[in-house]
Amino acid sequence: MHKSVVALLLLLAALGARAAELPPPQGRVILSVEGMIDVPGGIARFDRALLEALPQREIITVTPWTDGPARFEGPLLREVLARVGAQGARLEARAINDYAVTIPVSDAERYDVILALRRDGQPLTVRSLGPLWVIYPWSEHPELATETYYGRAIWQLERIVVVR
Amino acid sequence: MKRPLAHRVWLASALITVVMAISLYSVLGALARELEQLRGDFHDDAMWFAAQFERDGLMFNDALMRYLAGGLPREALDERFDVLWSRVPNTREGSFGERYRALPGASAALADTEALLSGFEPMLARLGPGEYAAAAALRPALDALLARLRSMTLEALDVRLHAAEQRRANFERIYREALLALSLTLAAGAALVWLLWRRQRALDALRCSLEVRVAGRTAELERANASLRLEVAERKRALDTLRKLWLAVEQSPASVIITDPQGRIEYVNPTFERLSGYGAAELIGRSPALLRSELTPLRVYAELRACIDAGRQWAGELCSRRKDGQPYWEHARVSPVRDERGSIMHFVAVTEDITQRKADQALLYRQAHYDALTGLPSRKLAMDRLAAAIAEAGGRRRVGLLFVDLDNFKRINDGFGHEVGDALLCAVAERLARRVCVGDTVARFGGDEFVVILPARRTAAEFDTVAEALVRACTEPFAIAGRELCATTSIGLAVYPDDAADPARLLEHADIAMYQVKGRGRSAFLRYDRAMGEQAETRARLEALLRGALGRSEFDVAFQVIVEPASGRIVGAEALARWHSPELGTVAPDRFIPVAEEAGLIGAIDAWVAAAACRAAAAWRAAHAPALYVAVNVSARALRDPAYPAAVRAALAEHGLPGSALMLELTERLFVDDDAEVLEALRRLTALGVRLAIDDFGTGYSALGYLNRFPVGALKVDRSFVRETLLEGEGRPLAGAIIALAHALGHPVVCEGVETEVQRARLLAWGADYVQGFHFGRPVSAAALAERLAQQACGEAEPALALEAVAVGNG
Repeated sequence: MHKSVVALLLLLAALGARAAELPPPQGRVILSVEGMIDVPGGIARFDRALLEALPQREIITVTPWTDGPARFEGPLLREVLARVGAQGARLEARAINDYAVTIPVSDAERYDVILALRRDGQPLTVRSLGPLWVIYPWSEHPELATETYYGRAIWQLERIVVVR
Repeated sequence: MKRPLAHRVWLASALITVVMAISLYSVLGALARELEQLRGDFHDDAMWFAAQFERDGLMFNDALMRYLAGGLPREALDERFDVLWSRVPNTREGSFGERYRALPGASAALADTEALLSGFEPMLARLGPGEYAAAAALRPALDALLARLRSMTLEALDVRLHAAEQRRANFERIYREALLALSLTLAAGAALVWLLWRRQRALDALRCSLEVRVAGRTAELERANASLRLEVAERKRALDTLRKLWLAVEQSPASVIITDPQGRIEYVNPTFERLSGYGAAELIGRSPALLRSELTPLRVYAELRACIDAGRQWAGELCSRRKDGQPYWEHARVSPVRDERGSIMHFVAVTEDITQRKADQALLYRQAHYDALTGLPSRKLAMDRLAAAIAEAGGRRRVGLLFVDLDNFKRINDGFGHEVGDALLCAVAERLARRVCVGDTVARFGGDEFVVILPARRTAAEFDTVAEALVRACTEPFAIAGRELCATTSIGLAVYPDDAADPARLLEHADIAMYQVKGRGRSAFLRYDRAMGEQAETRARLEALLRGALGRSEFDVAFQVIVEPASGRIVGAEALARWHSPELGTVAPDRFIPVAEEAGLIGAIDAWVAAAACRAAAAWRAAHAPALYVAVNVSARALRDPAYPAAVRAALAEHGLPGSALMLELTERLFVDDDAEVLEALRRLTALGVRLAIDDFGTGYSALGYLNRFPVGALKVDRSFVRETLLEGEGRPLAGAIIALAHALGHPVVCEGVETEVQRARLLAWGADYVQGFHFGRPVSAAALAERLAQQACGEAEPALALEAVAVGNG
């Protein structure tokens, strides 16, 4: 089943318009994107530099995990998805410790959800819940302050699988 | 009575509402707390933090084991270490970590973990795969860490269990509270419903009883109302009736007086006040006797008194006196007014002012019984008195009746005017009245006729004395309007019971006697005798026969020729009416003409004669004598008949005759009377061309002025003058003088009654233009005359041949 999906994706990648050629990561890969995307090899790998080259967004918000407002910076999730030619509706996001959540693609389209690389100017590390942390603009959109959206704010993000 | 219930109900309702509100609010409060708790569960999941912490610890332990065994790259081990490390700041920061931090021993655990990890870091950095010994040195610390994390997890689990238990207890409590609140609410609601239902029932019962009471009371009121209405209507009717009666009495044109049974005045209406001149205030309490006048006969008052004392009604006439003393007559009706038991309560007098009526009656009586001009009793009163006198005389005494007629009154009246005539009548009345005794009556009978009633005389001679005195009284001239007028009287006398037994016949006989006086020369008196009566009867018979004689064709006309005295030539003919009565034989005109005049028949007779004459004249003129005229006699009375001139015109027209073919013979007297009607008729006739001949010229009046006013064709000299021509002496010059006078006036002369040749010759000598008489021919029929005219036309017959013996006299 899984193999036939991959085969189908490969076929689609061969026939359809392909996204711009994704350069190979130069540094340590911190994010890989798979599933219903349009990249050669069916997997997109991003190092910090690649992610920083994407359009960035800064979000200053209060979160239940921080004391007081914090400033987060990183590429917009939808830019990342666009960069890999994502076609699906949901994203299965997985953390380093195998923690996983499902994020609807619509969140990325409706809100400026970012994959935070920095907090308060400092690059995020594993010890500070990095290197990537999904951040919603809670302070800009009070309706986001619910269990659902807090639950989707996965930290120590490692892998995204785009599914239907 | 109902208030406490109401109070209890409202109080209970309020209490129940409060209890319900409190219990519901308490349930709501518990629920709110529970909700808050549920919200907190998400934020404060210490268990999750603890479990993650423990898991990351175990995963690191696992990674370390695999690293030592060479199955895991270094970076993966470091990554696992970093993940474990990240739990410390992650737990220390943010609101989500609070619950964990609140766990007993949490801060110590975090501090120990941090210390352990810090201690681990340099040892771990030096550790290579397979270095189990070096790793064994780490084991106690790592196991302690894992145990610590494990105990924290258990701690969190414990806390969570405790919290869950507490929540369940709490929820149970809320459930119980809610159940209780609901039960309370239901109970309170039921109680409220029950209370309200009771209250409603009480109210319904109250309303019902009230409605019943109201209905009862309404019905009662309606009954009372109906009876009240009835009573009101009855009273209103009674009041209306009373008011009507009151208004009727107040405004009655009749006077109304109401007294008490003792006769004291209680009420008078305004009409009475106006009539009597007294105000109501002046009369109330007083007796109506106040109004009495002595003009009412005393027996009337006595009768009135007796009547009302007997309780009966009285009606009659009273003369009362006004306040100002003026008497007035009233017709009064006095009635007792009785109550239900029949006793007299009042007397009511309704009186009507009849003063005017009485005055009117008196005036009418005067007008009926007295003559307005002279003030003498009228014909009616005279007849009444005559009847009374005769009744009183009763055959034992005599009653004389004088019928007095003024001589010449008509001439005076016509000549000097009605005012003079009226004054004369008054003067005569006064003289007559002055000559009779008390008890005698002088009455005006009409026109210039008076009657004098002389009752209660013993002998007839006494009447003669009075009659004679009356005749004598009027022989003196009367001085009227500066003139001396002679108005003698002719008096006829009839005596009861000698001459007649009843008033009408007595009057008739006195009238006949008076006519006899007139016939005998006037200014005298005559007593009626039997002969007079017979004569009057004859005359009456004649009149009766004459009426209808024309209709029965009892008249015919004879013609007597009028000739020229010299030649004997016939120039005209006089038509003479003849009456052949089957009863009386042939009646001469001098007998029937006066009767016809008085009976009003003369107009018709004269018209008939004129028509007959015209017919005859037309025949003669057509046959033999174209210029012949015919003369007809006409009386003044006929000329007063407007039909006469019309009849003459019609007769002329019928036979195609010119007016000149007809001559009307009139008496001079006719002009002297100067009757306007007559003169008008003459004007109309002469306008036709008809000529007039004056009959009996020279016998009476000498008002010659009229001769110029009308076309007079001839003057006829009366036979009396002609007769005198036979006498030697004074007669001769008289006839001649008359002829001369006529000629002087310019009129031709016709001499009548010529019976001898001597007369003819003399008259011819005196210049008479035409002659007429038996000497020239007796009156003959139209046919006979036509024959004679034919002979004359043939051979100018000798006039003497026509002269026949004298026969009966002509008219």
